[in-house]
Amino acid sequence: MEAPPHAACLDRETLDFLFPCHFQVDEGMKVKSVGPGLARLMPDLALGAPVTGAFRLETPRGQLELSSLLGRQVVLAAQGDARLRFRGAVAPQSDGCLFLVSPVLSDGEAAKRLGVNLGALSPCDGSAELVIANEMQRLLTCEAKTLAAGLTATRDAAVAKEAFFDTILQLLPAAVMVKDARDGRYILVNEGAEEVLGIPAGDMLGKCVFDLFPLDEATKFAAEDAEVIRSGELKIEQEEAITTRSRGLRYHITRKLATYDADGARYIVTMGEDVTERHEAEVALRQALVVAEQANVSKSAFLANMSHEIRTPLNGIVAVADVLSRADIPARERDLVGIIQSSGGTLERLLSDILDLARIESHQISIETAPFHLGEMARATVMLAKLRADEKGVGLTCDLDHDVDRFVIGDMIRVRQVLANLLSNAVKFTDGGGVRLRIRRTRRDSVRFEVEDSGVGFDAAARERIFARFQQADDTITRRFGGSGLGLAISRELVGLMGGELQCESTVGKGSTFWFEAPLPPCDGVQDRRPPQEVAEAGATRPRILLADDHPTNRKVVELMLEEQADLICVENGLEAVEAFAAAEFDLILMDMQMPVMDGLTAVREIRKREPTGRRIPIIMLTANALPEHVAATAAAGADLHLHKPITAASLFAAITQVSHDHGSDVAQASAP
Amino acid sequence: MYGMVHKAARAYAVERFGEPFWLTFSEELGLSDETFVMGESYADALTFSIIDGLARATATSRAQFLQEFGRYWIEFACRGDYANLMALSGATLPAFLANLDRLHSGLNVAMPGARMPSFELVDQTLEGVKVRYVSHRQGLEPFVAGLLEGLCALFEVQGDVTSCPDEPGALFDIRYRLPAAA
Repeated sequence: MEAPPHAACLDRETLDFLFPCHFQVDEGMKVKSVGPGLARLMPDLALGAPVTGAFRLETPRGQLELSSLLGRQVVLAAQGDARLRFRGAVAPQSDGCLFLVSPVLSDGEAAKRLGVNLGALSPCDGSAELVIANEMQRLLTCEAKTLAAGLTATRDAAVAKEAFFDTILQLLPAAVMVKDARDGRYILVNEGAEEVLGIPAGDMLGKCVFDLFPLDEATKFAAEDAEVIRSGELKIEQEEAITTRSRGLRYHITRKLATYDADGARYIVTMGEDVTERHEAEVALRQALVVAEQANVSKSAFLANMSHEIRTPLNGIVAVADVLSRADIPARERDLVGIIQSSGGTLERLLSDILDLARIESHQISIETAPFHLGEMARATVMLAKLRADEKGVGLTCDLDHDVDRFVIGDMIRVRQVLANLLSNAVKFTDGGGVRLRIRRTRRDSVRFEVEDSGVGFDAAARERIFARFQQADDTITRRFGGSGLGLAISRELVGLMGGELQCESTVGKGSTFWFEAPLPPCDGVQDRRPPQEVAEAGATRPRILLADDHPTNRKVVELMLEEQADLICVENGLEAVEAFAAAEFDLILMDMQMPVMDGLTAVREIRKREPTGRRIPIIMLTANALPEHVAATAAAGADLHLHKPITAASLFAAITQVSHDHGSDVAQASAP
Repeated sequence: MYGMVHKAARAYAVERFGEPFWLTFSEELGLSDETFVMGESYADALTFSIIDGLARATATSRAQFLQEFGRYWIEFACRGDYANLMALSGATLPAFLANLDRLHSGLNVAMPGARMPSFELVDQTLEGVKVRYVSHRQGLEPFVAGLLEGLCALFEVQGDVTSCPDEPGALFDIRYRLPAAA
């Protein structure tokens, strides 16, 4: 083959530039010259050395013989390093041939390993581009592997995370269900849901509520789904009835929420907790509550009846003893009557205390809020206690700050009850010295009551139990001073109901102080509308009083009390009272509450209906019904005063006096003993 | 530009300010989920938004930052994935500069869409070298200056780099401070 003439004609400088790794051999195949690139790569390649000592012919297969290589493409490998290979062509020359070759490099790694740089590569044969492109290919492949590894790690992490959450999901005792929001079909159901619904997940997945639940429930569930999708808010059903396959109707707290993507609602997640046991307990509790309330009603009725039934005979005892005490009887009999009076009074207080305690325990006492004059209430209460204090020679003072001697808003009856108890105790346990009631305003809406005595006092241990029921400072005191031990317990409960706390401090032998604060805001704008008391004219005629009571003892007691002061007309039931009122004129009516044929409340209402305009007869409800609701019923029916049995002549005359003054009549004057 | 530039910018930010800075920075640029790929072509606007953001972070002008980034690029390329290509491109500063176009030509084979700049060694003396730079992109001369400074450091040549416009590009002049070292 004839060699290309142009290659052989290039000058050395051009040849070095175009093929830095060229070399020339003579006809004997000995190296004649070497390009600069080849000289750097193979510094041991000596001029004049046989080419076969430096290179081995790889392509074409055969010997490095001049005749067979001229004009052909060749691949040579360096004898010392088979990795250093050259590719090119052999051009004939007049005295040998010219190998126009460049190093063969797979990539940059190979170039670096062999110490080849671009300066050794021909600009003509693309060897430079090839090695760079291959290096870039290697780099991109490495990067792709790195990215793939990263993706694999991410995917593995995601799979592990999914498995982790799936484990949690399956372990949750709650039922968790997820529906595709677009078709309402279940796509995820945990074991909790399988258990509570009694439906295997396999039977639920791909189905909708209408495939699994009764129509009414499914319709409700579907409506809830639509609601949460529309609102985007969490929906909680406190007690959702769900028919399960395994356990029938169950009640669940369900929480339902929709999730969204760019196309709208994606999933509906429902979490349910079986609260059937709690539901049943609540139902049972409600039923028990109804029963308890019924029992409470029965208890209240029993208490009312007991109160009534005890007070009726007690009235006979107390009232008759009272009448007897006014009679002219020998001293010994008078002492005996005094014992009956004292015992009757004690029995009545004990009855009142026991009833109060029972009402407190059954939460039947409510604190009323109405205007009342605090100063007047306090003074009246002190006056009652003063009777006993005077008997004992104990001084009793009332110290009211100016700004509490006015109308306030509160429960006068309960404040008075507590004060009366504290004052009564103070007088009871004080033999010398005195008792002082001090009332002052501590804040705008709060009033402090303080009862201080110089009595026997008590120690710290007694202080711990003094408010307990049926307890006094000690047994000695119980024996010495008497009493049920209920008063302070009741007072503390009442103060607590009013929003305060009854407290005390004491020193044995020096006295005690009890105090409490109660919210009693001032009431501005209330006027004392009681009419001025009129002085009845002397020489008034005997008043005519109508008494309605079904119990002969009670009628007899009143007859005995009023026989000297009034004309008493007695009837035995409400209807007779109404008829008597219609038939004749009376100055006052005393009306029992519980009577056959027509009760007293009805009778009062009937009488009030029949009264001519401008004339209102005073009516006192004289009854053994002593509970607060009875007092309220008295007022509601239209009676003017509630006087509960047992009565004494004093309490009866006081009541008559009060209603007479309120009506401006002269019954009181006429009936005053 | 191709992702290799963005990878270098990310490496620069992380090395200098830490990974949390980059996470915040890339999130602000809307790149929080972006993994730069070497062979992927990214819009020049994105490249320059990163450059400008890092310039702000380093309290330098865009030109100042580009120059620093050019120096960093050479260091980054030599110690990372591109070490073989850097070695392949030449063992001396003049040889490297003379082979730059061949390097880019080879890169173009692997990344056919890449718009590579041209570097032509126009003068080489004992006192220094001159390189003519031409690019489709505007305003990257500071980056080239930084690259040349980085190459001087790579080949342990102490020299000063200056440039002047030379339509359609710029002519960079590297003057050796110690001629013998060249």
